[in-house]
Amino acid sequence: MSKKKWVILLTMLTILTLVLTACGGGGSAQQKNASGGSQGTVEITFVNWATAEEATKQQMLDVIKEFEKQNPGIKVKNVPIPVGEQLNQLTIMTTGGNAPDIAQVHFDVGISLAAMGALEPNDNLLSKEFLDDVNKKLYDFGMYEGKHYLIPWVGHPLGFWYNKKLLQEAGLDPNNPPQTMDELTKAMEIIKQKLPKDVVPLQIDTTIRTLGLSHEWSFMSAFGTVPVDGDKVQANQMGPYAEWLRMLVQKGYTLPGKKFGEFRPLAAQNRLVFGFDGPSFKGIIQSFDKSITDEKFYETWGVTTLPVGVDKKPYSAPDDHNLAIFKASKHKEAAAKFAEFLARSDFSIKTYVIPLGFLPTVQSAVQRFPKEFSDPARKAYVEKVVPAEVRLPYGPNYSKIATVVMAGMQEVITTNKPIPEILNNVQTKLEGIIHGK
Amino acid sequence: MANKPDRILEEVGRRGFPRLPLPFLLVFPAIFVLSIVILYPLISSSFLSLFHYELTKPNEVEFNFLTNYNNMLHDDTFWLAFKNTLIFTGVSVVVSLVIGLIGAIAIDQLPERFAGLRGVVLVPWIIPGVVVGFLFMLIFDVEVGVANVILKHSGIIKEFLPWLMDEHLAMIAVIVANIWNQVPFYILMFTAGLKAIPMDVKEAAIVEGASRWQEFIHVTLPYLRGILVITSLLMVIRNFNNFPIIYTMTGGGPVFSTTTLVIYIYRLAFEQFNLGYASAVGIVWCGVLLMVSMIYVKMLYKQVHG
Amino acid sequence: MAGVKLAGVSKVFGNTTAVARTDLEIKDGEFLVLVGPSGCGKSTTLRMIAGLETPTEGDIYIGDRKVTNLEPKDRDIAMVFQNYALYPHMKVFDNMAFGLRLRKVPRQEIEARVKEAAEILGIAHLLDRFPKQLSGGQRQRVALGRAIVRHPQVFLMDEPLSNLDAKLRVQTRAELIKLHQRLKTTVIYVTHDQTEAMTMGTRIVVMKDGVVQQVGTPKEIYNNPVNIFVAGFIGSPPMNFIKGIIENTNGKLLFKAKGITLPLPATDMAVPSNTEVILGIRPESLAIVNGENNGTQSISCEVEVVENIGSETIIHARTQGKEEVVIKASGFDKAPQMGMVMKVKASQGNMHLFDAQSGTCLITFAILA
Ligand SMILES: Nc1ncnc2c1ncn2[C@@H]1O[C@H](COP(=O)(O)OP(=O)(O)OP(=O)(O)O)[C@@H](O)[C@H]1O
Ligand SMILES: [Mg+2]
Repeated sequence: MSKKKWVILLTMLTILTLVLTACGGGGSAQQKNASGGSQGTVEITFVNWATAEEATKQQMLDVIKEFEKQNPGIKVKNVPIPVGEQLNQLTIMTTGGNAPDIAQVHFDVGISLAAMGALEPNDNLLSKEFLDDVNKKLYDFGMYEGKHYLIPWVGHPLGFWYNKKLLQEAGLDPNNPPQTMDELTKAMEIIKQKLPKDVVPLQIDTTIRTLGLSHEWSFMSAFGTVPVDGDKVQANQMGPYAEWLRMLVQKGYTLPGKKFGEFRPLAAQNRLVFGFDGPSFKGIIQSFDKSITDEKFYETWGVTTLPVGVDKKPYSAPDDHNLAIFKASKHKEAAAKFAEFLARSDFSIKTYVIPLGFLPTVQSAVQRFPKEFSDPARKAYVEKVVPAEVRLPYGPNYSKIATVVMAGMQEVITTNKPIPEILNNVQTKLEGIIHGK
Repeated sequence: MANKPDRILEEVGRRGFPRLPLPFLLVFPAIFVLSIVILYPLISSSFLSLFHYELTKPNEVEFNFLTNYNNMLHDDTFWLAFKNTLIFTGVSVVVSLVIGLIGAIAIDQLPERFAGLRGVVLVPWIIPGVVVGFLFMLIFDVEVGVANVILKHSGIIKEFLPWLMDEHLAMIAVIVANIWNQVPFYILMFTAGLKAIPMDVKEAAIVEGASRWQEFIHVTLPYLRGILVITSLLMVIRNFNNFPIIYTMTGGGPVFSTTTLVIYIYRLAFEQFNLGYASAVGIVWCGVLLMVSMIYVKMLYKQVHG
Repeated sequence: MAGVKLAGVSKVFGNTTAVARTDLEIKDGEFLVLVGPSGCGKSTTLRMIAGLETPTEGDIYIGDRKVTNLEPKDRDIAMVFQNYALYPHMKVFDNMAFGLRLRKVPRQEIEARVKEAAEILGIAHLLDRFPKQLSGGQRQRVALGRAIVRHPQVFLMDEPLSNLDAKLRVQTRAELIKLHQRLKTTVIYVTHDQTEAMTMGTRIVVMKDGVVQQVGTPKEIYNNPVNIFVAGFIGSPPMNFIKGIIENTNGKLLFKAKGITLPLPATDMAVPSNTEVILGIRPESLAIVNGENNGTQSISCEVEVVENIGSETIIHARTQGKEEVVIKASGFDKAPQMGMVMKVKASQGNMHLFDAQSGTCLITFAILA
């Protein structure tokens, strides 16, 4: 083929590409206008996993319907996504120019999005009543670089669940769960000796996931050292925790490499002794085995704070659900209104928060629904677990930190490498991430 | 004959259309689509690979030329992923090849009334990778997995093994899953190959004094050589970017012991949003794949044109 | 070298009987041709001798060894296939040397034997080529060469010439005969072409539906076919058959059909009157009668097609009873024309009477000119 033909061809190609991309852009722009402008109603897009999970779907849809009823000017477009894909999907949507107005996020995801510049600071969007009523501690967890981004919706901190029946079978006091890490270790030893082989003493997430890190974080705290504390990298001092973790796996006190959710079926089969899970633990177990009534559940399970370690302080990690309003949103006020409705309205607390076992994030809820909060587990959560929550090193590097730390922890439990060597390696990598190279 | 359509088009050309030869016009749509869906991402990622670009740090985007590539040289996870890719691909291909060949021969000798079995053998091939991953995640589960149960009952292991939580066993487990998934493809290819071998040539060898084994080595195998080479190369390429099975089974773990290059790239790009570095690794990976593909195309060409 | 014996051999595939209980003895050094229409079981017979099929019943002997259950490699036979079955990935030399190598024949000897065979077959210059670089005829020779180098006890050939063009086939036929005379090895040769059978075979076995119809020298089979099938199968153009009845007046036989009354030569056979028979007479045994003489012994018929094939002319005609008669004749000054009515009579060779029901030959008469 001659040179000239190639040139023509290439030009055609280029032009076509340009035309096609231009068309694509134009199309979506038009679409946006159309949805936004029609007769005074606005439509807000709500990305969430509440409607992606069977256990919470119907309640969530009911709440949305009620919101639309009370606010005739606002329509909510519901976009369900799996919980594990929130960061991924929201990042892609945002970079693709297709960001939602509001989304359900965990702290780590929310802060990452904030760091990306995807979110709108929301102090000025929220009403004074809401700001006065909201749990201050959880609210502050949603700060990034001096601005506030994450509106607390429901509390879901991790508490220490203990199986009274199994404790009794092992000859331990069912009403006096281990108070310290040493007691916990001792109890697991006895359990391993006395109970059948398929009973798993402890629920602990050792996957290489951000969720894994947030699950292990409280244990790390109890052993005195977390890998990253502000700007300080101290993974090389995590020896005692790493030794303990390795021992857990070697002695079969837990199932290595499992997500913490994978321990829940065991709990439903009465094969888990100590769980470290959120307040929805009860609802989930009941959904596995419908024959477990509330009464039966409380006969078996009690909840308190994680056993304490060197500093005698109990720790809990936030697995709470927040709402984030996106910078690209055209209807931020409407979105904020929706967020307040979800977190604070009677309807939402009655329909969604309480039945599903979550904790409300507004202080007035306990007064508004005194009866519901007399439940022993919820009481323990509100009084003991929530105060024990600590903030993890959320931020733009969180995901990298989690990968490095959890890979290190997996190395601890899957290899025989000397622990200092593993931890030093983690230390170097974390320093690289945090202080740059 | 061959010139005729050409001439018709030249006629058309005279009436005002650009004069392009027919074959070119025919491949044009394909080339066009390919250049958009393949070339564009390729070019844009080679471009991206020269930047420090993390989505989580929008203020720190900067051109840093070959720094990403340089970092790769010192990134032990990258080298581990590279090694894992080679192990995963190499072992999968070689073992599947042998099993596939044996399977194909067995099926080939099946009496006609068992022909239905051929269909059954293909089933693993049509199961999506994610499903295969889940299936084998359960099979190799430390608690309830049948792999442990079977191995223990047959006395091969004494204690249940944490297949997916041991750096060596995990690789074995994902390879086993992968082989299970793709052996049918080899069987399919080899069955076709075996069918194409004239019966009388095999019989000639037998009559001349070859044992079944000698016949296999001297007649069947040479006939299958082309298919063997092409199938292996095809599968090398396929396994090089095999994502779903590994990702669902181990997520690349424990630690990074089953992290292959694709998994690594995925983690870099979609979990850490380190797009610049992910692109750089992607380009290197593409380069390796391109070399294999070129060998493949060459072989294919040789096969077709004698 | 050895003879081959089949004792009560049969082969059944599912519900087709490919070969029915067959007894056959092939003498050492013989060139035996198995002939018959497609699907009659020739290949199956050959393959059983080769060991590629196991007989359903009966035994096979090569020399005095019973080989029924031996592997092909232990039978010391060589086979030439219809499609040559050369190994495409081996050069001609290696194709020919393959069997010898398997038998661990020393290298020098292999080379000598391959060279010798290549010389005999005139393919010495092709030893360095691959099969696909050869013409059909050359491949055929390589296939033969591959069999020859082995010096087997028996050659088995399954339609080895059928993929060659007519001229090459005739030429190779002659070469094969020469080769056989030179090597003196037993050959069992399968063909469905009766000309090949007639020209090549020391003896011929005619088969039909898995059953051997007749075994004999070409001459025996040509002159004394045992039934209407063999009579019709051997010879080209095929034998004419005319339906009719016998009139027996005191031992004098008369064949009668519409428009035909043919007195038959004297015979000892007692055929009762009104027996339905078929008269068989070869086209080359008929001659056109000039003029009107000899009215009673001639058959009158109308010419339909005249084929002139050089030295000979083949005339297709129809009797008054609408039966087709083919006449092969030569040396016409003026060949008969289409539509012409002419008279023909038996002039040489044999005439056969077949039982109309069973088809077996009742009597064969020599025609007295
Ligand atoms: N493997 C087989 N399975 C079933 N039937 C077979 C098989 N081989 C041959 N037959 C049947 O046996 C009969 C004899 O087949 P054979 O091949 O011996 O015929 P042939 O005389 O060689 O015919 P041709 O001249 O067409 O080669 C046929 O009816 C054929 O369909
Ligand atoms: Mg045949």
